[in-house]
Amino acid sequence: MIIGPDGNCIEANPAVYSSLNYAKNELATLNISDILLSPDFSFPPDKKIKESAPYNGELVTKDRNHISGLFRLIDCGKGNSLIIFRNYATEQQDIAGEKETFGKLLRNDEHINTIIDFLPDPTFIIDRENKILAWNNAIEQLTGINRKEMIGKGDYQYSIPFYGIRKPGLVDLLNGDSPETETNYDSIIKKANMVVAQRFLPRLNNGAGGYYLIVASSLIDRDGNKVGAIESIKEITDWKKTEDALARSEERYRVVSETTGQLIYDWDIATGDVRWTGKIEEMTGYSPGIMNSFTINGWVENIHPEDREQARMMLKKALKERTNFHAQYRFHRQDGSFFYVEDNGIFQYGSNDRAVRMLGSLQSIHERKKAEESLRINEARLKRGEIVAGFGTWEFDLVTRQVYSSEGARRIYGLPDRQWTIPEIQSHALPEYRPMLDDAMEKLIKGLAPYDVVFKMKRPADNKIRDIRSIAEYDSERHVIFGIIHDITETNEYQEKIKSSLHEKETLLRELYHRTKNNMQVIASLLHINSLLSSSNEVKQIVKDTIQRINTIGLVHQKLYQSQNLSSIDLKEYVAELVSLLVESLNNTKKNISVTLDLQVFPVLIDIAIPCGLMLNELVTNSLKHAFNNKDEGNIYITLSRSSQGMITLHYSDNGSGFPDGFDVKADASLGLMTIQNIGEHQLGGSVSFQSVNGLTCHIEFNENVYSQRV
Amino acid sequence: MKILVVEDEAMTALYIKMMLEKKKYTVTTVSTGEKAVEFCKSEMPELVFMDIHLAGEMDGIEASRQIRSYGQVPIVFTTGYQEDAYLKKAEEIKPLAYITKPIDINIIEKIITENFPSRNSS
Repeated sequence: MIIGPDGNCIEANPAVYSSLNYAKNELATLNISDILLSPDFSFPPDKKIKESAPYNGELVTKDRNHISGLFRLIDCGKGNSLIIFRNYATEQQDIAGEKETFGKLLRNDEHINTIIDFLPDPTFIIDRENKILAWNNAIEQLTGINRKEMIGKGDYQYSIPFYGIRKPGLVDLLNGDSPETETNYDSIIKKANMVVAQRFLPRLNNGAGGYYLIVASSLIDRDGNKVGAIESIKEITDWKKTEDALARSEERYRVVSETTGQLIYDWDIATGDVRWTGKIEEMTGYSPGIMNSFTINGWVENIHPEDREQARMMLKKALKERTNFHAQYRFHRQDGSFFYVEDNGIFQYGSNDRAVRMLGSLQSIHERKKAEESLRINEARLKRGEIVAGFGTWEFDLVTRQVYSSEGARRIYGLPDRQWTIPEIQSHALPEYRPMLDDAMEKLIKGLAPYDVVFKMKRPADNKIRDIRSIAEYDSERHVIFGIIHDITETNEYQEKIKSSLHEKETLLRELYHRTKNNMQVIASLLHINSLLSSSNEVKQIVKDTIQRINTIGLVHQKLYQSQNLSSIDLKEYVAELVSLLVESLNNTKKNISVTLDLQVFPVLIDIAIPCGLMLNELVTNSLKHAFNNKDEGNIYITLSRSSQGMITLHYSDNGSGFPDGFDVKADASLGLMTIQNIGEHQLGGSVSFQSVNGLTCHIEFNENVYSQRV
Repeated sequence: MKILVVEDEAMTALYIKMMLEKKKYTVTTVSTGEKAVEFCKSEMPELVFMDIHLAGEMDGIEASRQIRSYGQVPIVFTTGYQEDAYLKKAEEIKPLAYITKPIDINIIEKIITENFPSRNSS
């Protein structure tokens, strides 16, 4: 029987109404659900079913008897379905006699045409000689050719209505491969005894042509012999157009989604199915197949647990309020990670005014979110930094005269969080600083000088005076001055304390040097006094020499407490003064002694100055005592230099008598010469050499880094 | 010739005193500015050797200023180091000379003989 979309019976063959004890016209009043019961199937049938599997069912007769059997549904188009029912007894019997029955049918043109006529799709049957056995009503209507013109005709007669010429058709492909014939079709699917193909048939639809699905199947008798073939044609022009439109639409979706980096989705609300388009794998790691297998519940499960409930609530809200859906959440990747997405969806509403679909896009905002998160973290750090370091930022808008201030800046100024004007902020600086601040800002704007000022302000919150350092830049394009303020009150206080402490230490150190020098003078005085008590000239000379050496050291301490940094002295100044004192003190005979100094200016540590002084003391003493004994005048030359590598060279010479003939420095050295050698070589780690040619020459070299700085 | 030596360091004072007395000068030593002023009130010396840096409240410059109020005695400043601020202040006294420590007795003797040629030790 054939039923309509609502399940009402449209037509039935005699077997149906005679089995059910209904008159033919009574059936039109019945619905399929009244006469066919099935535990496996419910009516009306799903539109998607083209040809169903066999279901168990029972036909209910007019007198309420039940006939058990199997039935199948075949889509007839336009929502109509063909139901073929066989009771179990007939089924068994027919299976046994099927081939025979079919063989008889083939031999009985009238029966074939009755059956074929019943079929809604255009259909024809040929025998093994390719002669047409059946040509049904539907194909008559499609081609406009009556069956009388076709029955019994061979020689590819069936192809004329479609192509206008005699040529092999789809049924002929059942006899074997024919590449030439296959090229006539857009797509061909070949099975054991069946061929399915699509193609455009130009002569149909009154010459307008149309796309058709063509199915051809071999007819086999009970012995397995091919006895003919059946071909059925179904117009799919509308479906093809829809399919093409869909393909184009999907292609557009794909292009849009791929170029914009979005995933496009289409959620069928009734089924829960969601179709995805775009670079699915690239964004999610899921293959398109897996992604498209997610229903709406799968989508929800892929949302980060912390965002899931909110996304679900927003979707419900959008559905309820009939608004567009908009949400941001973290979506799951196949590798277990999550990425931030922005989801925008639009609902489509059906005829019952209920939402039936949602079309939308999923765009990755992961980088933006990460940047926002990073910005948030950095802002928190900056805020924390402002608190810890006691600084703040501000921005003067010279056009609006408004001030933007950071929390740190407001804390320094002790101001509440509101919009401030430039004059309001400036008024907190102490009046005596205003002219300087105005001048600095003017110079900044004119590009004359950078803005880096220190001033005092009175904090309105507690009336405390704070020291502020402010550094600013001028943005001439925006007419904005951006600046940083730093509360340096505590820093200044610490600096003052440090300065005070340093000054105290310097004073103490200077005093220490002073007292050291005084103590040396006391020692020298003691020696002087003792020498006065002695009548021995030898003792007096020893004391005098010793005092001279003490004074040489004392002079270093004097220079140290007079120096700026208390750790080093200018060697040139020291040597010049020492030599002057020595000559004045030792030149008892009032000879005309000239001293020529060629001294480089450089500072040395006390550890270098004292040994240098002691060596010079011995050299000058030696010259004045011995070198000029036979002369009324004499010259002393001293040069002092330092190389870039830190090698200090002290070159001393006189034009006196030099060493006596046969004098051996190593063997015959006096205490003075031994002192020079010991200090130069052992203490300073340098070299000392003497030469006695036209006087005495002493060359001393050592590295200034022999001592590291101690103070 | 009567010489006053004002020196807070006892051994230095003793050394100068012994050296000058050896040259037959009459030497009195005091250790503070106050004592020097007190001494000069009653017995004005002919020459004063005054240490600029003295222990106690009164430094050598102030002591010299006060001594000068009693008479125009020549004053020689002895100092451990040259410090501009002190020297400027000391210059107001118009000293006869400056001697830098360590004291060299030859220099003292030279100053005496050059400034007091007629006055030998007595």
